[in-house]
Formats: sequence, C-alpha cells, structure tokens
Amino acid sequence: MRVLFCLLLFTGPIAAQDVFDIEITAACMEEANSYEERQYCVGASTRRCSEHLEDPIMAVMCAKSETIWWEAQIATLVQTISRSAETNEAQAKALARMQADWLRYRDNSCAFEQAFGAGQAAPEVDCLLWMTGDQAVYLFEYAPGY
Amino acid sequence: MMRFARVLAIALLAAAPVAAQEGITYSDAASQACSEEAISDSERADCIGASARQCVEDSPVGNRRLMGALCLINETEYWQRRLDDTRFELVRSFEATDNGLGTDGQTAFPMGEALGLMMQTWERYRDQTCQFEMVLSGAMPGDTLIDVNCNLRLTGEQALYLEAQSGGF
Repeated sequence: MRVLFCLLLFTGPIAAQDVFDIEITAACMEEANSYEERQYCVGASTRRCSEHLEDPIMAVMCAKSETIWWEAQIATLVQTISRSAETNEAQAKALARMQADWLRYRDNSCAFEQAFGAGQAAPEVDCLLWMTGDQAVYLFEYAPGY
Repeated sequence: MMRFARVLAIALLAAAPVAAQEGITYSDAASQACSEEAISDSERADCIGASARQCVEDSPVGNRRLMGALCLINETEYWQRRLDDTRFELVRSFEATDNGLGTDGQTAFPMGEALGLMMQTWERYRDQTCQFEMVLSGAMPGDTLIDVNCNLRLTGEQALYLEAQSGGF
C-alpha cells in the first residue's frame, strides 16, 4: 500500500510536467500583435494542462510553473525599460516604486481570494497567475522593442 | 479572476466640440447602463470610460484638455462610489463570518482583515502606477490628464473586480 502511494506521488508530478509546455504561452506572446491578444496569452500553457489532466490539482502545478515564467518576464521587462536609453533616472525610480507596490498588492489580493476560497489552494494560485501575467502584459506596452 | 488593464482611448478628446463655454455636462448613465447590460467581464471592463466619452461629446467647452480631465474625474468618482459600496457590503457580510471563526472547529484567515489589507495596498499600487504613467509620458507639471485617465481605469477595474468577488460570496 505504501509503495503504491509513493508510486502515485511519483507519477503525479511527472504527468503534469509531461503536459505542461511553456512554449505555448511564449509562442502566443511572440505572435500577439495587440494588448488584447497578449492578455489572452496569460494562462495559455495552463489551459492546455487543464484540458489534458483529469486531476485539477495537477493543473495547479501548471499554473505555478507558468507564474514563474511570467515573473521572469517581468524581471526582464523591468530591466529592459530601466536600462533603455529613453528612460531617465526619475522614470526608472517610478517604475521600481510601482513594481514594489504592485507586488504587495498582488500578494494581498491573492491572499484575499484565498480567504474567500475556504482554504483551498487553487484560488490563490489562479490569482497569482492572472495578476502576474497581466502585469507583464502591461509592462510590455512600455518596452515595445522587447 | 481576469483583470483588465486596458488603456482608455484618450483620442476621445479629439471629438470634443470647440465651442467655448464654462462647465461640463456629465452623467453616470452611460457607464451604468453599459455595465448593467454587459454579460461578461470583458464587456463590463469596456464600460469604464463610457460616461467620460459621453461627457466629452455633450460638453461645449473650449479647453478640451481641462474638459476631458473634468469628465474623467467625474466618472472616477462614480466608480469609487461603486467600489466603496461593495467594500462596505463585503465588510458587513464578513463580520458575521469572521466573528464566528474558530467556534465551529474551523480556522481561517479573517476575510475582513484580508479585504482591508488588499484595499490598502491597492491604493498605493494605484497611486504609484499612475505616477509611473505620468512620469513616463513626460507630462508637464500640472498636466493631469494622464493621471486622471489612469485613476479612472484602475478605480473602475477595482470596482468591477470587487463586485465580481462579492457576487461569489
């Protein structure tokens, strides 16, 4: 019984990893030509997971993985905008302040959704994905060459 | 929860009448009717700015930038009222739940506290975002059009977000 349980634990994450493909979201962003199209890219890789995985808990792992990818996009976008020749010191500082306050707002907003969700993991995970992706798409507007 | 951070088309100012006259003609009706008829989050988000656009069309004012700013400020106040009303309703409904925390054997994070923290950090996020947009646009001191446009967009989005959350409570 214990062996079977361990086997299930082992096969679960592998199944999610097999289905999760961040290239779906990345390709969507590459091809998108407008703000609205880029917004639709948020959650693209996770949507594919949900379609192929019977267990919704597995989709949570996909959402977490995609959130990490969007966080990396934000880090790169902030660096790109800050280091742009067109950005002065005051603008770079304003960007840093906005990002710091956005992060606090995101975390508190998702904690609020978690409180609504009666302790389930998914509401917070879903919220983190959408908010992180949306902020990346927002910043993308200020880094057209990115 | 899908969030919309779209930029309102300030090109609406180009459609403003040129006749010089004091004051603006503003009503909440366009945004209100739009959000009552909307059947999706996306459609409701598109209602943000509807009353300001109508205001610009209806107001015979000479200074188009000033008039645009006044229309945007008026609509921001409308969404702020909706936001405050929803927050008030939520706080009231949370009081009973939060007061009962722990009495039924279940523990949870107090929702009233979670809501308060979110709103507190949202206000700072809104202010810093609008400051960022102002600074990045290279707007001259005293030119508040970018700031008021940003305030309207974010206040409207937050009002719709909280209303959607309260619907699920």
